[in-house]
Amino acid sequence: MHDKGILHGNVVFCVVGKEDRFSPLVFLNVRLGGSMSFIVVKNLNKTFKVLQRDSGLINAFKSLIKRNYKEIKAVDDISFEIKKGEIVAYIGPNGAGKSTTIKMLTGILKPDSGTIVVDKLNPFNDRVKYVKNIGVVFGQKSQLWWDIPVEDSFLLLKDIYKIKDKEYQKTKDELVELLSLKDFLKMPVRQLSLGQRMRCEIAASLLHNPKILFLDEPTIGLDAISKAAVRKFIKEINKKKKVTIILTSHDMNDIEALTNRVIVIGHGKKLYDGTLNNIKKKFSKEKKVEIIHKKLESIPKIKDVTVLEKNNNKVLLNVNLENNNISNIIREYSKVCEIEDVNVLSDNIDDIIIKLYEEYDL
Amino acid sequence: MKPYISYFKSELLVGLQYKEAALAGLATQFFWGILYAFVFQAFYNHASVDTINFKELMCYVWLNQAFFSLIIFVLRDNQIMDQIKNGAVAYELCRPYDLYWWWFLKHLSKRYAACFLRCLPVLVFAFLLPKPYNLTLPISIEAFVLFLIALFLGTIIIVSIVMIVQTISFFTYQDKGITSIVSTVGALLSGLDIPLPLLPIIILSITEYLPFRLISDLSQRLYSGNIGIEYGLKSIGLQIIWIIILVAIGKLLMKIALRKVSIQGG
Amino acid sequence: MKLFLNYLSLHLKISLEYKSSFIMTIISQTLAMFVELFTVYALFLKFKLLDIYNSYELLLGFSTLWLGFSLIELFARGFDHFSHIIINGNFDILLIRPANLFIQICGTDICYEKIGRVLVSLFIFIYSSIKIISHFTFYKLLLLVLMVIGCMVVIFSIFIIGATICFVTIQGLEAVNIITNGTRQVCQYPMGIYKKAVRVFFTIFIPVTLVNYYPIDYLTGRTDNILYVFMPILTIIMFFISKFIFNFGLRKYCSTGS
Repeated sequence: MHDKGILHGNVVFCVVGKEDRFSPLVFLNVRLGGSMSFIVVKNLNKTFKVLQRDSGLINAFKSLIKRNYKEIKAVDDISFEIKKGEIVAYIGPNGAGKSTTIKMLTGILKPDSGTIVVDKLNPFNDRVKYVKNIGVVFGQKSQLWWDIPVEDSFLLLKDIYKIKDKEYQKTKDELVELLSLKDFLKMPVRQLSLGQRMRCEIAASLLHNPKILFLDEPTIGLDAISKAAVRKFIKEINKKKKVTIILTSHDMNDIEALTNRVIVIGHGKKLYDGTLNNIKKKFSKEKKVEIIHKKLESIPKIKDVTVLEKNNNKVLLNVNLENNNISNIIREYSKVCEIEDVNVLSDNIDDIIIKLYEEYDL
Repeated sequence: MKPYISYFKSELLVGLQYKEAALAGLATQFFWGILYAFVFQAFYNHASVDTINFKELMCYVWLNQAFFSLIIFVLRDNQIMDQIKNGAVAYELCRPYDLYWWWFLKHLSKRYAACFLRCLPVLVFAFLLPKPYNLTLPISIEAFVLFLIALFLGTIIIVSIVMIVQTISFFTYQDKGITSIVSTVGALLSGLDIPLPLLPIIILSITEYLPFRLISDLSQRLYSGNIGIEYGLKSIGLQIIWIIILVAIGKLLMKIALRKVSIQGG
Repeated sequence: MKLFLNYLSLHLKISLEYKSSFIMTIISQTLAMFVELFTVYALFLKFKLLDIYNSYELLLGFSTLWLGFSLIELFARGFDHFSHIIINGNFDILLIRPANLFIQICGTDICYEKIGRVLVSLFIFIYSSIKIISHFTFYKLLLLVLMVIGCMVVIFSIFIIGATICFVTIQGLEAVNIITNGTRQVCQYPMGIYKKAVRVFFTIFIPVTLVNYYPIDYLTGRTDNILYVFMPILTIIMFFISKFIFNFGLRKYCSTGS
């Protein structure tokens, strides 16, 4: 039943997407946005004044008297919609406008123009009512208290969100179980490792059962094992508690592991909104293919395939996928030798994102 | 000498970076000067005292404000104390110079950098104020020269006291308590709270035997002629003697502290 | 309220984690207050004003102000340190929570180190009022309570206005210090020594005279005008004004995000 509803919303959304941006129909749909998409962001804008400063003593003295301001469009006409239960990665290089958007989505910052409707609420105008529905984890800031046991911080949050005793107990037990916090619930935060702390931070922001979870660089500074653990927890939370998750990260592996939908922004503009696979397809037109063989007589000549390496039981090929496909290559090679194994090496996700940023000149 | 000059320059730069901070600092000094002027005038309206007249008192107050960052006990954002607490002091211990003098000059340049930005506007402002709240010219050229010497030596004294307090916190690993006790008592005895001539005679006679009055009280009173040249010269001699004593104590404590640190392995 | 109690207990736990530093700070804070009291006394002695002013009245005015100050510094330190909350971004965390913002700001820092000042000034307050009041009546007791509460209201309002300055410029700390410490510096002396203009300022703009100067006349029996008893209540006006200004600043902060 539930899935059907989402699907239905999706279909309508596609139709809307093709409509003219300014048609009355779109506005109508935005107003009713909650019924189809959980989060609707429409033509969002935010401009900041930034102080210009040059280096050197003399310039420092000058700036005491006269200061130059420059207007920066931190968020420039951004629109997107997110469905309930989705995990969306919001990515872009530093200073692209990610955190400004997040701040507006969390109701901290007032947009210059444009609308945000989340679950029928306007985050800024209905701030107090709205924030009961959201949880936020800032990877670089802590909402836990440094000197006191984790559980005490939780109890404080219980009072802040006015969570009922029963409900608190239930949610806490659930989270303790899910995030395996049991061993360090009684320890002060300063004694925890970064990975343990991040798990506690996530738990802290979920105590009041929010409908949306904002994760701002949740794996920053963590080691590989902790990163994997945090990712696993995020996925489980999304699945079990049906929490909509909006995530920012510079770690592409986070994004690859957690989500399929990415929104890329740069210089305040939305550059891409779609699946990660599409980006991959678009930006990795070449793949490396490694063929391990026996008794290769001669290397077959195939168009748009170059040989990178060759030794007595292995060839490494660079294949342009526009004019070729992997199966064709395997077919050609099987004619001339006995193939033992084939490895297709895809581009590292980081490299793909670098290519993406380069294309948009970020 | 070069590292100290560049350190001084970067401190100056940091200070200039923050226009609001510089202006807020200036405003603070103006405001406190005016505030003291009002409070003391209220008292002088009721009676006068024989130890200092209102004109001399105003010089005292404004000089204190203008050179505030030179003569105050605790400057904000004390890097060195932070280093001791967070263990980064280990880096300093590896450097090829005498730690005592390095820190000493660091303190000194920080103070002069902060003062450099503040003192001139405050002095100009104080000169332009209407009588009797204004800062007047020094009583004589000799007095002014002695004022400058005494003020400079005074900053050496305050830094050498700060060095001792700081080294003690080396042992205790906490500075808040000791520093604030010393600075509370020190501010009173050096005339930063209210000018020393307004304190009871008993306290005044105690201050004679302590270095605190030599920090700023001496120079401010020389400027306005509240004390004579001869007494001033004698006190400057006393300043030098105190500097020798305080530096000797500081260096000795530092030696002991460093030994303790190396035994503990940092 | 329950939330605030929770904050109180958390901060007590933290303070007790660092016991020796905590005790040292209490001592030095209290010492600093004594030094202030000493300088007030010293000036009165030097200018032979103790013949004109009753020394218990001096003490009562001083202790009312310091009691109000230390209580507010104890409970509402977060407002005093508001620039830190803004700088390290913790204010954003407070904003994403549904609880009362004022309680959350107060809860960021409960400064138990002020407890020494509270106790000592409370002692001086009680001692000097016993010495001043020849016979206690209900209204005189009520006035004593209102004096302390009114003083807290005035100082809390100053803190709120100071915090609002931090919305405009992060370097607001020194400006805040000017207002708070300046008020304390001026008002710890009996306002009678100042010119009328000063008294008017501290009645209309920062109404400290309403809590530590005029009401003393009623306590000593120099006046029996019952209106004096309710004078400290007027400070609530300042509180509402400062709250209004704060909310205005908050809206501005939320649209500039700086």
